[in-house]
Amino acid sequence: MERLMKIDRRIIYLIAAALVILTLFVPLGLPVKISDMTRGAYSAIENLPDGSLVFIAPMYDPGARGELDPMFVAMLHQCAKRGYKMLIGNTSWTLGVQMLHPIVTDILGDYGYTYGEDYIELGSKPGGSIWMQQATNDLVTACITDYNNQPLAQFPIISQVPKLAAEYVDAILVLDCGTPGAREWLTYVSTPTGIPLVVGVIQMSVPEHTPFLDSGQYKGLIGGSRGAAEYELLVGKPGKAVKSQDTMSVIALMVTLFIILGNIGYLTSRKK
Amino acid sequence: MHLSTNPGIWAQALCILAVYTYLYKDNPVWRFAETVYLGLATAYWFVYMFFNYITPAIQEWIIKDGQWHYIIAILLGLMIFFRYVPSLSWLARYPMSFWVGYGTGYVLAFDPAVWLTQVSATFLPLNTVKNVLVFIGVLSALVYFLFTIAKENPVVGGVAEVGKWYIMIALGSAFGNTVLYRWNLFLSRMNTIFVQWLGFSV
Repeated sequence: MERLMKIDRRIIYLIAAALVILTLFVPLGLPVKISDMTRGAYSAIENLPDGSLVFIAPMYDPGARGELDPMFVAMLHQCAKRGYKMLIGNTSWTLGVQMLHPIVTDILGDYGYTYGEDYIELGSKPGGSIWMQQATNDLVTACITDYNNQPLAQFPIISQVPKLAAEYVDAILVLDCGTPGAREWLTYVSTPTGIPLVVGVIQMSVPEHTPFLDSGQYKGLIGGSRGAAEYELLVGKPGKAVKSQDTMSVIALMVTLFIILGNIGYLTSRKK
Repeated sequence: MHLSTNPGIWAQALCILAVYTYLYKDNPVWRFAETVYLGLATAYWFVYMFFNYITPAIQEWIIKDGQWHYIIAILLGLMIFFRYVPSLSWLARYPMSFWVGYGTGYVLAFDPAVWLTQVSATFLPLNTVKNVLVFIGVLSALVYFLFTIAKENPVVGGVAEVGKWYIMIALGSAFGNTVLYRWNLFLSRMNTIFVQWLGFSV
């Protein structure tokens, strides 16, 4: 039994890699049950008034693409289906908006959205929470230019949003993988202005963000790849997150098994 | 199978494989990938800072808009470099003092509204199991962190023990979520290698 505690980590890596690759090519088709948490986030976006304008802030970089890209894609589909106007941009996560630009162009192009009228990409602005606070006073001064370095004031959609305030913006949808992220949007924008906040987070941040959902400070929370899969199903666009659920389930089982074996080995060696 | 002809995908895939060689043991391929990453990241952030902070501040705000008071902030910021001049290093404390003072005030102006809402959210009617569990959890975890009261007292010690279990469950939950997130990262990388690079259809 003591040998259980001395398994070479490389064997564990090999087993896990084999399981990941196997489930990638041979899907098991395990069912994905939709949780109340994800349904709440979906409803919070779905039930915004017709003709709403939302600010989507993808606050992440390539490291979090696996979990947050599916949420972002599904979010774009949901907002476009409902006909919402969109401001898309972030602060500090420079790579995020660059890697998402083709996705935005493709999806919103398919829905017949016109750049500058129905949606605009603000790019990534420096400053973090300082930028957020400045945007609540004057959006054009805070941004100056759009993603393509064109002066922001020339676009019709911007005349409808002089600043981030509840009378102009119906919801802020944040995809979070660190700092600055959803907590900063809550502190410096949502709380002072009263704009509802819906958040999508990576799996490891779910426990940290759940209290803000329980307190009503977040109007919705989508958690990790599981939440992304549920959200894709709700939006009616099953994609990468749904596909990844077989792998995640198998890996969760494997990790649990190794933890149990490790503990059996530990308890046995302690008795001796 | 249809091998990618995109050089970007090739670079991604080879870097991923180079980094994962570390799982076997430390080796020159891994160290090469690490060094390339550090160099690229440093250059990227230098250019980013220059064009997003320094250029707009000087070109747009100071020269174009005539907001000359920004020069004071720039000079204050530059004073940080006095730390490299031993006889004048005390001057470097002023920008730090300003930054700490400003930062503290900024946080105190916005944070309490968020945290007080968190506190009031724990004032719950004890009419459901969830609410009772939240009430016990908040109270016992707070008692666990009361270091000024001796835990030898059986009541205080008992409540603190319950608080410790709550904290352990929270940490366990956080750990479990972290493990799953890391595996999702791995799955994304496998997607890059098998789907985007090697061109398998899944």
